[in-house]
Amino acid sequence: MIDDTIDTKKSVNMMYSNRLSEQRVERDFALLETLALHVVHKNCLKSRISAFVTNFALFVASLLFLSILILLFDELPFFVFKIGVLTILIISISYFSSVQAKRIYLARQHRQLTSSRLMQMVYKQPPGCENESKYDDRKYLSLLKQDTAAYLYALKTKVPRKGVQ
Amino acid sequence: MKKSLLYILLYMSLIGMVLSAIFIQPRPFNHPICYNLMYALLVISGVGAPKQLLFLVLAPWYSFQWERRKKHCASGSYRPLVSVIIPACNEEVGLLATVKTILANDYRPLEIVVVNDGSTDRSDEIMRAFLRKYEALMSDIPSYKYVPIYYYYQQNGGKGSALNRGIALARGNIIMTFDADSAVHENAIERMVAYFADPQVMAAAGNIKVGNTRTILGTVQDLEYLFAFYTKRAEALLGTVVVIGGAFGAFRREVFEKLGMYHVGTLTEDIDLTFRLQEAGMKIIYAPDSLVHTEGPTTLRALLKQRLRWKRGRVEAYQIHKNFFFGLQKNLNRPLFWLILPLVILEDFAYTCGALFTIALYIYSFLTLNFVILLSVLFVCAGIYTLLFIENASYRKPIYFVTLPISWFLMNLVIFAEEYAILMAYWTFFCKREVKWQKWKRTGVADS
Repeated sequence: MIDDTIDTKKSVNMMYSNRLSEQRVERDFALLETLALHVVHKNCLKSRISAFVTNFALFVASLLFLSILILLFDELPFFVFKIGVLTILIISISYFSSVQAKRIYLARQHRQLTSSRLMQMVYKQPPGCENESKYDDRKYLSLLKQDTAAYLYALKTKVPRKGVQ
Repeated sequence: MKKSLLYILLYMSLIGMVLSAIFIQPRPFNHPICYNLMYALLVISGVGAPKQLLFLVLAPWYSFQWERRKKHCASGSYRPLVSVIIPACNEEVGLLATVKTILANDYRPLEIVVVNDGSTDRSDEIMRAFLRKYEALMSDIPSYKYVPIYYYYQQNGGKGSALNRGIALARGNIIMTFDADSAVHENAIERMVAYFADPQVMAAAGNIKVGNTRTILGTVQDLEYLFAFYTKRAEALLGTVVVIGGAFGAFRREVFEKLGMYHVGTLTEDIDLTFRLQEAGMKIIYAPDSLVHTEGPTTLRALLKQRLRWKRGRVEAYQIHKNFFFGLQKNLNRPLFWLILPLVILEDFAYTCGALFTIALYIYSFLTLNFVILLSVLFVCAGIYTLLFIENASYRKPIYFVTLPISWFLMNLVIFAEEYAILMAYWTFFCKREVKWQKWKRTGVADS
């Protein structure tokens, strides 16, 4: 029988050093608890769907808001009012596009760090004997570490100079 | 006047204006001189409008930029010793509450330095009694949870002197300053420190909100702060933060080691220090998620005095740092000293015309029964505040959305207070008249 449970509570906390990852560990109970893989997958799917629905709803709402502004701009007979509407329109477009950009960015980052990738790697591994379990855990966690954006960035860039420039 | 009564009156006026704009034919306005004068006022007062529009467009992108930067900094593991400095002068109402809200923060390691600047009220007695209780209570808790509180009483020497004493006593790598009439959000320190994980960040301005919002004056100041701190994001995005407010600022210790302490004797030591930081080319950011509630003036007289001190202090800072305007000094923050600050000075004069234009607009609208321009201004103001309320979770309440259509009317109070302050600041500066620190009756920020 394949042991499809992972206990990552201790090690993951050590691995993730940046704040974003810490927040994710707090949120993502799949990483804190020992869970069956199919439950983890189910939770991942649920969170993905809810994120998509929220994003889509926000997108539609902002489009609706902008459409009303455009309609007002078109319909109102007063030039002064048109300027006012145009001002709000410019600010709103900037605001809504920044919100969407932020959400997309965070979703992408979440996907990069998500445990599902770890799970996929676990599935690919042959069922190891008990002596190898510690080694396997370490291996999977090092893979996870390699996946984090912070680690990749640290590999690529120099550490900025400290202190007054 | 009661807040609800004022709201009803303003709403009735608004409905009247809308109905007039729809059903009543405006009277012709046959005064070319008045018309041209009004037009000139509009053009001059509109000098600052492109800058404000640009800031409003840029502001929402600041948090996106920080999300991207965050992953490059190991902010979770960055936990230096933070020293919180609270200068206090006759702050018996708010001092203890401020200390308690700081203690309620989860961040450790932390130390608090309270400097009593020669208070003549009961604040010294209250603080000493609290410290005795606190030390007794904390005797058996683990050392890593314990927050040492250092209390120092000195002769009255001004806020700058009290801050300098606090910095000298502090041991932390990050030094945070709070006003003694503040309520600090439980995550404010932790969130602020996270920004300092980026080694280039040398100082940060916290997000200050008005705590006493039950009165009309409080609500108006709350709306004003909300707008001002929203546009501060754009300032930070462009690297041109003009002031790190004294109510909540954070600095690396190196800042004071390199630049020296606060200048004593200035009316606004926070503006002066910010200018010095910008002259040295040190990076200043804004932490919109680090919240602190402060107590705004409770009377119109106190508000006018506060604004006068701010404006006069700023004018004095311009005078002290005049050599850096359009300067070529090494490390100088050129966008700030070449563009933003000259624009801010220009805006001061535009503000004068703006206030006059507002009066002229009301007169014109009621004489001609043409409310289109006024309604347009109301619409823009309401639209901007709608976005600000959506952006800030704590403002997504019906009580705030009720103020939207009448927000422009409410903001008029601040416009005229600012106008008074600008005129008086320049007048007292050129006449070399002294402006003193003022105190108003404290009530605390209980409703925040």
